[in-house]
Amino acid sequence: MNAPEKYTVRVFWQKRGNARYISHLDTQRAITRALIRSGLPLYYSQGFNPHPKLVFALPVSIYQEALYDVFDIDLCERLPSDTVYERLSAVMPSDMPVIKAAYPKKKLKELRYASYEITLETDLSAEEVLSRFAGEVTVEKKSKSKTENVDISPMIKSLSAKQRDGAVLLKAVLSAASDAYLNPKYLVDFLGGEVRYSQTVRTALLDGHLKLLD
Amino acid sequence: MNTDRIKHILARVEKPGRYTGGEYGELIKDKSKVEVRMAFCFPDTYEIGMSNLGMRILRHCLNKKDYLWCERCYAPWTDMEAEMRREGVPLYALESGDDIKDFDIVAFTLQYELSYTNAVNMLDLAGIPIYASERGEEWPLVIAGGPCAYNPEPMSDFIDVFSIGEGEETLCALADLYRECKKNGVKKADFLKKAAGIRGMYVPSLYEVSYNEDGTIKDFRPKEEGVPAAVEKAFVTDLDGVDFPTEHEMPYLETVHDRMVLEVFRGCIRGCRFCQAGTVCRPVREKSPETLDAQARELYKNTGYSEVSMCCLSISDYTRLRELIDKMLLWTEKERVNISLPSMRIDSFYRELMEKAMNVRQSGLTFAPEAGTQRLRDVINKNLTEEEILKGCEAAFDGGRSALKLYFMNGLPTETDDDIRGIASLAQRIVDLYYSEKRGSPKGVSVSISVSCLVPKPFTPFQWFPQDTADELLRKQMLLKECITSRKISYSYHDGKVSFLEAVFARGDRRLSAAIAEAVRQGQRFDSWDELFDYDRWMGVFEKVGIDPAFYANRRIGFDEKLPWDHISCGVSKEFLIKEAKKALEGVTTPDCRTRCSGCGMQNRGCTVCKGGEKQ
Repeated sequence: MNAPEKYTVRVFWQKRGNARYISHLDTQRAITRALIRSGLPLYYSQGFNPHPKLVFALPVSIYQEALYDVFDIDLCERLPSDTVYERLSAVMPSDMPVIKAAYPKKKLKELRYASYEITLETDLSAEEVLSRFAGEVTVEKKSKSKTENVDISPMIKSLSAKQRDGAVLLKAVLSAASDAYLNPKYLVDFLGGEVRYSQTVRTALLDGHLKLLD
Repeated sequence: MNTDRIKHILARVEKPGRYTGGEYGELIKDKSKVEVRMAFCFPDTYEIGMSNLGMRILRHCLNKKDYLWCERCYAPWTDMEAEMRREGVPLYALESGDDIKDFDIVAFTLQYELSYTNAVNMLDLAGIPIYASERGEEWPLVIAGGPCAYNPEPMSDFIDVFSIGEGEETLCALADLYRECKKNGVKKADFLKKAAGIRGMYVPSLYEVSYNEDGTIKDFRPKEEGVPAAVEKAFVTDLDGVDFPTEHEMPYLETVHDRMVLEVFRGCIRGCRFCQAGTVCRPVREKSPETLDAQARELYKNTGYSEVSMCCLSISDYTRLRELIDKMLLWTEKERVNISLPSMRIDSFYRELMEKAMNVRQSGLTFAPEAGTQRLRDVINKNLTEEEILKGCEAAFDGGRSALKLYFMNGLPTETDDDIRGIASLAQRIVDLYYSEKRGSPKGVSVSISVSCLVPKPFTPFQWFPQDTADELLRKQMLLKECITSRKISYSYHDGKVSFLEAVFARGDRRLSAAIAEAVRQGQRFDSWDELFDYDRWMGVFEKVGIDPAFYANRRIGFDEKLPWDHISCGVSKEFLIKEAKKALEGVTTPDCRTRCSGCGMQNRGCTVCKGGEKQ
């Protein structure tokens, strides 16, 4: 059987502001509807319940923002990427803007790391925060089947901290490979009750050479 | 909206997306350029309120005015409310994030009686005095409408103006008047008197009530001259001509009706005697297939939804359904849009649709016989015979369906135990029908019956009849349970205590405002949510304020008694309703409006259904 031609386009987008209160599942639904509104020639899956193809590099957790994020869509026609950008950005929610669209240079599975900026409302100083992460970083990880204590320090590629506007700004590069994803919330969890409030922004998705996933 | 001041709260509550606005399609206006700020409040959760078509239509009409900005507001869930009260954050509107206590007009839609506590609690959470009499010039005007406004009395202490009927035109007139009065510094009291002059607007503070010793109403009259003795409902005459929103906010959260909704027609030709919508929404007014198809295409373009649902009281009674479906199939199949036809009758047209159109969906196969015997179906004027039900089931089974749902009601006037047993035997006959032939489904047939309790509603022929007590309803529910023997039949029923409270407020008078206020004080809210409904607390409330709830719910009301809602007119005459009530007791049916005009009163108000429905 001949499947119709399809062309994968990568959409670079942001999830910011109040969109951080939206779960990944709700985000997926919102973007699917935006894709339909865009009128782009979407390639539908060929199953019993056809739906437009939409693949995220890495879901953004609720309460987190993302400034450099990507999802891939499949089209039936090879359109100029600028056209995809224009049509889609006209119909996306304002807190989920599209930055650009391009034909992918790398595969999504080349994703290895993600970088973050975490603002911590805390009485700890930047040095104190960093020193907490000096040795083993053991946190309680919950999955569907079990809860276990894990040392996440091997998944922390780099970490720096500084004071900013009365808060501590923690910059981190964490593992984001499909089999070793570290949610940045564990860094905040690790600091425990000493953090009153935190705000996490994912600033980039990176490959194994710490180059942007583009 | 800017959520900075509540970011700590949002990190602690469930589903924070309920409280932040910012959806695609949200309407933002320049605050400095509008003269009238309005907050349209739905007294239940975001997911329920965002699905409400009436509120969407009215906000659309109001927001077409450049001088006005009408924003949204929903009842925060208990976790959010607790956080807001703790942190001193008053109720705010979702678009601007501004406190609604600083708005000009705060509007509530009252869709069901059990949302009354939420509405009052929302005022309190906003920091607005709940009683109309305690709100001076500095406070917003508080108005309310929706189906429950047909008996506005239980909420009358809290609301300045009720809008009775369809508000597309009259709410705009009220807004115009408000703007004019605000500009000219007109005092609230004078504004209210002027408002009472707009059709459909009822200002409860302009009337006084006196009671007989037995608690019934002695007299109800305007306090001063110039105030109309009766308030006539408003309704639009040309549905094709009236504004319908084809773009709106796209909720991130999954709402109750997360799809396109197309309003096909208003009113109903049927005349079921328990149904309030069937009376108050008269006359029947249809939209043309051309209008509907155009609106559906626009909606699709603007929303990206892949399902469109038809909204009306009975889709099979739409005279041009075939034409409409044919038109829509021209593009919906190609665009992979499903058409859903809720509560469609299983007739030849239905079968034809099932065969030719893969993407016309029936959201589950349902029948609403409402009563278990033909005798009782005649009493309630449900013109559906057992033969029709069985024929419909057979057609569905032949078409490969094997699961269906039946809706019934307990506590109908003249109901006997035989009628209860009739529910079980009807379900059993459907099961037997399935097995009378060899059919494909490996799991066999599944018939689920869902039984609610009659709530006698104002403006229905049953408004005078007592509701069964909760004990009697429970006895009937248990009797039915015993009568069901097949494991192919599943059975669920409503809590009679919930229906009791509904009946109290449905037929209530002004004195009930005290009970609502006390219940809110005691922390009662979200009464329509099982986990928060608290019967015992409500009984304590009634005792504390000295009200016997059974007086409202379980009493047989005399035809000659003054009713708390007698000063409201929905166009259908009281004489007609009395005639229907008497016919009910005799088990005599009334034909539908297309077959023969029954002279309900609407024939003098522009109804042309019996003449083929042509516009006047």
